Amino acid sequence: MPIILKNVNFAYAKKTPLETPALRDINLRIEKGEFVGIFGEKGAGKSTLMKLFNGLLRQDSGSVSVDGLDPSSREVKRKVGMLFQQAADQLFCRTVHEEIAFGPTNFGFSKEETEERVLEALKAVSLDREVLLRSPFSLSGGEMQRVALASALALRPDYLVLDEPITGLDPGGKTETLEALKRIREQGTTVVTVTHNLKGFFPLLERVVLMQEGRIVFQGSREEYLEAGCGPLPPVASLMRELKNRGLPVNPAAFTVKAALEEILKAKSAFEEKT
Amino acid sequence: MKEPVFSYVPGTSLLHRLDPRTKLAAVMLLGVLTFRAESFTGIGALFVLFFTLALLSGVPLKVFARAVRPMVLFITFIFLAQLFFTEGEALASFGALQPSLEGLENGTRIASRFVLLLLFAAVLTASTNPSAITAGIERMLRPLPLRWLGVTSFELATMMNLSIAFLPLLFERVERTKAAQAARGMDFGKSPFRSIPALAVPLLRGLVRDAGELALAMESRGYQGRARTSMHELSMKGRDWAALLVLLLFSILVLGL
Amino acid sequence: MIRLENVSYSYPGGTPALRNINLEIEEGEFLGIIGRNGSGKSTLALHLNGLLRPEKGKVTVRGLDTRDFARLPEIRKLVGIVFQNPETQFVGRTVEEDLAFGPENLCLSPAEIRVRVDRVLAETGLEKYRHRSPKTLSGGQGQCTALAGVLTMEPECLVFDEVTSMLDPGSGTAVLKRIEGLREKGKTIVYVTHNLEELHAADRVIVMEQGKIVREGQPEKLFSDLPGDPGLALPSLIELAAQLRAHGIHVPWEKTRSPETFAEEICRLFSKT
Repeated sequence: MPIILKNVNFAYAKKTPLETPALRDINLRIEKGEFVGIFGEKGAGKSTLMKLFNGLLRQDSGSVSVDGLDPSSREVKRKVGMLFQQAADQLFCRTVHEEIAFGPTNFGFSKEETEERVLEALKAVSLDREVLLRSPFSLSGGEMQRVALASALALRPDYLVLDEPITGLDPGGKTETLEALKRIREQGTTVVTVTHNLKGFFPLLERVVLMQEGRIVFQGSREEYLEAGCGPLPPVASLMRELKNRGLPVNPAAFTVKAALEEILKAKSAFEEKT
Repeated sequence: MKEPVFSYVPGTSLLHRLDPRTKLAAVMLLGVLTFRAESFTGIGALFVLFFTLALLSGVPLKVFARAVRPMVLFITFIFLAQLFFTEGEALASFGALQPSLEGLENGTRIASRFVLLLLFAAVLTASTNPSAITAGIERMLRPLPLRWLGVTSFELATMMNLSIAFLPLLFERVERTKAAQAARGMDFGKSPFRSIPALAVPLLRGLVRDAGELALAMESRGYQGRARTSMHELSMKGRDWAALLVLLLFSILVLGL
Repeated sequence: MIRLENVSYSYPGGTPALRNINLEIEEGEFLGIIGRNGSGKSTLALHLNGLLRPEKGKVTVRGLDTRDFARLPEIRKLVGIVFQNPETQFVGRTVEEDLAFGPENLCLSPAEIRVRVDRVLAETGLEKYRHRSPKTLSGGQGQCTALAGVLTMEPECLVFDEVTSMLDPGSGTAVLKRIEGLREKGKTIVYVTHNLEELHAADRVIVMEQGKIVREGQPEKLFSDLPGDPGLALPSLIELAAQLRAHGIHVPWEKTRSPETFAEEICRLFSKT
């Protein structure tokens, strides 16, 4: 069962002179096992949208269901793991172990069960067991981000929803976090990320949702998104689009350096044959 | 997302053009007056004054309503407390609770005073640029020997400005932390002892960092806590003295009523 | 403009953040500083107008020593810094007031402050947000306001400390364009980042690692011989250009700036053959 949003509308400061509509007529279906990227500018409604998934916000009209359940139920809080911007800011325990165990303990799992989950989550984000007894604040930015990720994973969520998980990290920290997310997805967890970092996430995404002024203006597979060219593109993909617009026979869905190289070389030999 | 309760509404009305010190003095005077006025005619006159000022300022009435709204519950509570717990002629009887006529009068008086206080403060804030208010306060404090306390009026003014600027940042942090820990299954009602550090630690860490970053940014822009000027030129003009005179006459009138 | 001589610095109780840095920043130059988190690049930036003062060695701004407290106001008038987080660098409650903060500290007359604020508001296109709280602005507009707040001090040198790291790529590009515009006007620019892509227009780039300058040069040269350092990802268009070169397609450095110029160049090369 997926996350399903039907005709959802939401406004902040409802029924006051300051009412600001944030989401308009949202229809969205997130299937299990997908890696979904939600793009859009600041204020497009991305962060508002994700807060509907676990009942932090409630829609004004329309319906939201997670595996057929109402998002405000406690079961959904466990099913949907959520990390907000600058997730490392939310760490507070003396040791990494306590930090990751915080979630499972809140849900009343036994000591053994909690222990098992902590180790499993730690492994999923490829952190060494020796960090367990260290203070989370003694770690690097990328490591802290992965501890935050592990603390969400310890609840064994079916869906992991992230808001700008790599913003503010340096390239090394970004790579570490992206690799962890890739593995998490491979192990069967659905990953939904709100981001403006196209370049970093593009290789991982299976589906793209583009938002503008509270509406979803595009949703489809990564390839469809590249074909449509309706939103921001990573640099190599925009190069491909530019080349295609200039009449070169290249595939606009190429977005890696390797694929682009092949496309350009192919176009070159096609050109040479012609002349 | 949220508009501050006491917000500035830019404009060019007479009220906007008055010196902030005039308006500060006026609000202080009106504050005293509000609590001095005993008769309902006096209180009524104050309400009339408020509406006149509101009209003069050209600020929409809803801005003033917004200033009162957060306090409505508190004011209602005080009104009810007065209504039911003042000894006097009973108006009706609900078991142990007996609203009295004196209670009704007292309650109305006190509730009106709070409302008036908020409304006059809102007139000041709606018609005066916030930093002009601080600049005004700073100028009024300057003759005081604050140096003995180890601060300057400039520092006080900046502190006021900053604490107001910092509040929204603080609230946002609280909201963000609450949401993040709730997503990790924290249930404040169920286990407050576990929840308090989960909220307090990230909050404090965040605030310390925010404050540090802010301090750097201020220092980088030449702030030294010493004498500084203000973009808002302060000069008492004829209209300021005239306004104060009118207000003084009005006060005598109200006290006489 | 700014000279650092044998500068060392460590945070209280921490490991050394800067180790014996020697650097001369020329008038009117666009200097890029790149390095991973913790390499000391931000610490270096804070030394440029005396927010931090060296433990050993000295920093001089047009000959003024940053350890001389009496000269700090002058130094800060010459060198302004724009920081990473737009949310924590606003002092004023409206955009206009925030712009006035610096000149107020310089004790300018109210009339002069007005003139400067109005001029910078017009230059940066922020007039319509004059009375808005800077905190309600979008990330890009926020950073633009932060920059404007420094511009009202009329500095000669502007230091940017990872100013685009919280922005979406569109706003980032806009901020960068504005910075390049300032450079055209003759301002000295120091741009700290961990994103090589943003340093395309720099005159010179230094790479920092563990508090030291480990490499220095023009971006073109530097990018071409950077090893596969995981901490510093090579911009994908530059990587593509390097790989195309191995196949006999030469896209010159200036054309790797944007997908548009890159595509133009490829089409030009193809139509020539």
